Amino acid sequence: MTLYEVMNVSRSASQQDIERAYQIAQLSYSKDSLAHYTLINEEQREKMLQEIKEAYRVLIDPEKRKEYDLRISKQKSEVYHNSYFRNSTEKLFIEDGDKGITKVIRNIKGTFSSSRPKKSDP
Amino acid sequence: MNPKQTRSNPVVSERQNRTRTIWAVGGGKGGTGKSFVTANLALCLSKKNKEVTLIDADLGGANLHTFLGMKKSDLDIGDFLTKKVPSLKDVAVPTRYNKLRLVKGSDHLLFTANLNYFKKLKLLRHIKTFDSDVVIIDIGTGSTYNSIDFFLLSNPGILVINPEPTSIENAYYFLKSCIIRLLKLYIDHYQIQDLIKKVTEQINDNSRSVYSFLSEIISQDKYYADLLFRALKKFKPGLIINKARHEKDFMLGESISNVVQKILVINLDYMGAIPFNEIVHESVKNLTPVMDKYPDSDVGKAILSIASRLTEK
Repeated sequence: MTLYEVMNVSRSASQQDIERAYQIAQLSYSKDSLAHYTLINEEQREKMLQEIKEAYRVLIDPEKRKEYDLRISKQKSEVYHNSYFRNSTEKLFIEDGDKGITKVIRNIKGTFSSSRPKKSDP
Repeated sequence: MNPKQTRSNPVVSERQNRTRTIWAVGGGKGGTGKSFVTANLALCLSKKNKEVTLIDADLGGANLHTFLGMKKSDLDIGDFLTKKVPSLKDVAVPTRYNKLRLVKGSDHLLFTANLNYFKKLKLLRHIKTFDSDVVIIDIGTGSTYNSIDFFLLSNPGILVINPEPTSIENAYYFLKSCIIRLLKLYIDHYQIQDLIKKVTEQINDNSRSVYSFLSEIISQDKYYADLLFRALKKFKPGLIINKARHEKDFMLGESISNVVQKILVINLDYMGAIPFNEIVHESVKNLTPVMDKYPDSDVGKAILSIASRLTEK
């Protein structure tokens, strides 16, 4: 995940956009915010706040941002997905006891065990 | 046949030839004000000279008619679903408001609470035949296949939540269910069960994240990983906060949108907040929508603003 993705801003975001995104992110991941309720645990919340602070520190500084932009533009485009998916938030989805994706996987496995293909709708 | 080249998008294929705007209002938890918002958004649009049809698809808890000051009539959506009438238009009745029609909900629970996929598609086909600028479907509570499918097939699906933990928890459960349903539709449509089987065998049971699921697919097949990722990105529901009392309630929508984009991958478009006001309670008791009796109230203005944002979306 790029620092821009961490901050939820586009690559062309202005300083003002970054400031605003930082305020929203801080508010979103504050301890008493309802926005992350059931989606992440306390440890993950703190980690995300740290990542946001680090992203802000780089992107708000024109020199550091320029260096960072140069660095990521050199990376191969195919790295994009790997960097996006294999990031620190990788395991955040459905880790609150909701076995949603496991259920899908089980359904899919169930489809394989069937001798006849199932309809797309259960 | 190379499925990578020949198969169309499974959700988009259902949306092809759409000539009408279809919104579906849902959100998981009961009592958040979905029907109130639906009725008032519809009235707001009809006052702006739009032809609007409301469909009460809250199959099992229908009362949209009450929000518009109407009583149950002989015909409702159940009569169409049970083939008593050939067309959905046959059960669309005029309301007391110009340019606003309503398909009333049904209490034929046995026939309507669990629609099969083909009945849902038939219903959708008929919905598309309405000569309306906007069709708004109230999909009711819960995360049933009915509500999820209507939500996925509309453009956009609109979540109505309250600034309360229980409401947010249910909304997130609903969104996760939509994401899972969407992935399953794509997997079935593109017949990539073999790939998914291979991937799922390699995923640790403790690793239940969609990110880990997708990243494992990347290692096997970048094309399909990209396809599933894009499918999630195309799913762009809207969000309305209802019964906002405090300043932080009005700011919550933007925070939720921010968190959802990062954690659930999808883009949740915040449409606005409707303030808590006793006039809502009064208007429901008096069987008169707020947009009829109090259009200039803070609630009325908020609904007008949301309607404008939605029509621009």
